[in-house]
Amino acid sequence: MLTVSSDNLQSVVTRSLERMAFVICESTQLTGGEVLALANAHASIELRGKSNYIVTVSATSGLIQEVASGMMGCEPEEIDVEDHGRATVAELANIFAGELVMQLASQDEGMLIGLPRELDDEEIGRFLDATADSGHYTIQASELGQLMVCVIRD
Amino acid sequence: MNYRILIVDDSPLLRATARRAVLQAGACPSQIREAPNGQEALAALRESPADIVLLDINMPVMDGFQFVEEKAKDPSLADVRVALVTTEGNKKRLARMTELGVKHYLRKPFEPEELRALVEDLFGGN
Repeated sequence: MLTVSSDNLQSVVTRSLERMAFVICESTQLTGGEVLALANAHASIELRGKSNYIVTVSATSGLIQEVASGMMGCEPEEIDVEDHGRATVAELANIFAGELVMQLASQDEGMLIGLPRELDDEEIGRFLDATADSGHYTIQASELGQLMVCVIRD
Repeated sequence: MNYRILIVDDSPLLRATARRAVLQAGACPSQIREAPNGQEALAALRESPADIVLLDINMPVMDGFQFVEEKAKDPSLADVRVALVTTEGNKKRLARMTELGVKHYLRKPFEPEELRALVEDLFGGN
């Protein structure tokens, strides 16, 4: 069984964003559907091992600008979301997946991380439905935007 | 001293972040190049050598493990130092990289200062 809970998923997400990009997040009352409606880019990544999981990341323009600018050392308004949105969300998926594998490693030593894949609105909607059925998720708000991260057993 | 550095990551965001760290480390590399996967990195090194490679693992076409295996077979690349900058945390796979001569490792997520410190170590010849 996946030992990742919504609580430690939240911890993985907030700690990673703070370490990589100095972005401070906290929980928000927005629903998953509301965040998806606001989101500019979505990505997924697979974790393969004795058990398989899919991690999805959806982020709004403001959060993408905060993360990319924090990593590249520039101002958020200097980040063109059309240019950097997909790459930023894909890298976040990769980083969160890596952290989750570290949590799962003791029980699934051979776990491998796939390559991030861009998702369209229809696909991410299906993942949100699956998360509601049998997954974990966290919704976080930063100063400029929002982010949703889901983990689903595949 | 001047160094030639090759940043290998499929993420343009991480390549830009690493480029910034290299420049902020103050080592004034004579050349910074980028490649999106191991295959293009090998081709770039064979065309024009680099002193240091900052290498992601999880990449399309040829991943970082394959890159290190291929590099180890090529005596002309023996002097190229490699630092892994990756989400990979599997001890067995990382041990294999150490056997093949990879001495530096930084796991994502890292703080920008940690990447700068890694680059300073590499430029310092450690």
